[in-house]
Amino acid sequence: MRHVQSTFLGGIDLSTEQWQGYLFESFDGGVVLQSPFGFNGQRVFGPDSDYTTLAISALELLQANGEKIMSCRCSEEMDSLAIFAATGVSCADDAEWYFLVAEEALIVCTNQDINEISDIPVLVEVDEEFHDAISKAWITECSPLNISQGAYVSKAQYEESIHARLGMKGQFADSTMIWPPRQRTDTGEILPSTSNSFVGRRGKIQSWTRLSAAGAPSEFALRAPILGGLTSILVKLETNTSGVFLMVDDEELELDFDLNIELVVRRIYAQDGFIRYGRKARVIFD
Amino acid sequence: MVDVAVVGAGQTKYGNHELGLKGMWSEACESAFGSIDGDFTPKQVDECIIGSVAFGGAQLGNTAAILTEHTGMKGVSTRRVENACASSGFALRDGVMAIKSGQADVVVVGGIEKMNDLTPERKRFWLGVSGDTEWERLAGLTFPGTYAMMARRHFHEYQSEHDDLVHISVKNHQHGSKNPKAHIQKIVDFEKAKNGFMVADPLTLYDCCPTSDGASCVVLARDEIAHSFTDTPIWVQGSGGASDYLALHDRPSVTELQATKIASKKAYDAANCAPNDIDFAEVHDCFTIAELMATEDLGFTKKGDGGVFAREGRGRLNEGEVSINPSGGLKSKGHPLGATGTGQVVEVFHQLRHQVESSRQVADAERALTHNVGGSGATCAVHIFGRDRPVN
Repeated sequence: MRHVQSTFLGGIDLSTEQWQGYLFESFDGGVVLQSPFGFNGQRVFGPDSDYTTLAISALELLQANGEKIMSCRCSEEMDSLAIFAATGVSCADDAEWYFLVAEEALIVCTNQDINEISDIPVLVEVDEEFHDAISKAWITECSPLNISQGAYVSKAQYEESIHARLGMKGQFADSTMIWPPRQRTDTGEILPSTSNSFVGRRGKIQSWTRLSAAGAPSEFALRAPILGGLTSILVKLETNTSGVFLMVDDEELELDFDLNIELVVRRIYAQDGFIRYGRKARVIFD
Repeated sequence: MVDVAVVGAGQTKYGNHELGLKGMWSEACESAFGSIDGDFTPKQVDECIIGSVAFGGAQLGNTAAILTEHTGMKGVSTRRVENACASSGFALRDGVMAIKSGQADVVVVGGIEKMNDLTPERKRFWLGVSGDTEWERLAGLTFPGTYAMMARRHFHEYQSEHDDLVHISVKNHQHGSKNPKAHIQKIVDFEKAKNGFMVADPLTLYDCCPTSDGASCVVLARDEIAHSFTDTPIWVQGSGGASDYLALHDRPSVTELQATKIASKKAYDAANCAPNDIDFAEVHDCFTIAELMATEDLGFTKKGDGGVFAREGRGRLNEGEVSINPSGGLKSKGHPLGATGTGQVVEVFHQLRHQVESSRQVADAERALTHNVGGSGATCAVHIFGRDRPVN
């Protein structure tokens, strides 16, 4: 097993085994995907990952490799709505494809019979104290007792825009892509409420800031101090629309204008007993 | 054409105020009513329009009713106006329109916010409610973050730099140090301002306005009766309001505020004047980059030259071509959200009547502009005032 004293994936050569910040190994009829992080030989999720984000990433990898997957057997740890919104793959008990979930932040997505799961022998060491603090913060945040103080993104509002948020679905009008979705154009014409136009998952950095923990929104009040603040960026996507996103895997990065990024699904925050997922940005160098 | 005059204006000191909402509003009203030279009673008021975010939610509903009730205006038609930090700028605009429409002769407009009696967590929540909740907020952004992104982009596109923002901070603290109503009445030197605690890279603590308690109150009167209240009314020469996309990512450019450009054009047109006719301006410097961009968007300097304008001290009191924020601005005078817009008018009223302390009086001030922005630029109200009644 290769241990790396860094939480920054850009600092190690994972070019042949990294996908959206996760380690992967493809095989005929499936893929193994796992968190790169761990301590004391134990593999753990990163600060904003879970089985749902791994599952979405695995499906997007398979789709990128040409697999046409319509449905998949999901595990109870996974958020089926988020998976469907992000990938178009519905969770169904009779599906040919299925997920195998291992305890140590690892999943397999396959249509084959699998008897054994092999760990990918790369481990990015994280601080145990940091991991414990983040894990406890998520437990508190996910509790139904963690009630909003007022304005926040409700479940209904989150689900209304989930296909735009996770699936990057936009609206196409007059040769122009619109995202995030709007009700009408600037000239008052009604836009379709949903669209199959894909905005894309890549773009370039237009501006950025590193917010101190004290400057972060209250939704992030539990985790921002542990993370030492939050990095947000303004991105121009390939389809000429713009968005703002939190960064992921950016601890040792020097950001710059026009750096290329990809958008990956991660946890955003939790309140009132459920997790909101969203796209976060990772710098890519290819 | 009906004209509108400011016949009285007053405010509390901004800062960590010991009084609550009722006490602060009462003090601001007393100050404003007391500034009226002639006979005046609150019973003469036809409308009372109060701007407030209702920060903290202590009196989120019927804010205006309880405040008018406690200040001798029970029975008066009243309401709260909310447009984030531009709440009372728009209360003022509504008051002006109420008189111009012929529906009112005397209107009290004002604003109030109580911000410092909350826990840090609750305060942080309320500071973020006026941004784009669904997308920006879930990207970790509050206003320091959105303005930081504007700053970094402006640096990139126009070769402005953080030192330019430091010059703005130092200037406004210099101005505010002489203002007895200011929240932070102290001079800050360049090195200290340059090396402040990083809030949202590249903005430091000294690029950000404080969170202040405060209330402000302005009495407006129709032209025909204005002189019954005072021999030296200050005339509203132009009023403009505008809006823009709430979220940064929807805007074609993040280095300018379209709402400011549109609102100021309306105000200049109404006042039949140009930026170089303005002697001083109270601009919305919630962050120093906001003042830099405002000097461009209001036409005091050309696009992209805001950094040079600040660097060369062209907004310093009685030194530059236009004195910017002689009160100290939001940076030093303070920023009690809903009170800020009409608080700017209080400064204008006393400056144009040449009634402020001599050390901070704008020399020969004849015409002034107020610029009040909601959030990161989704709303903006611009007003132009003068000692002379508008020529219709």
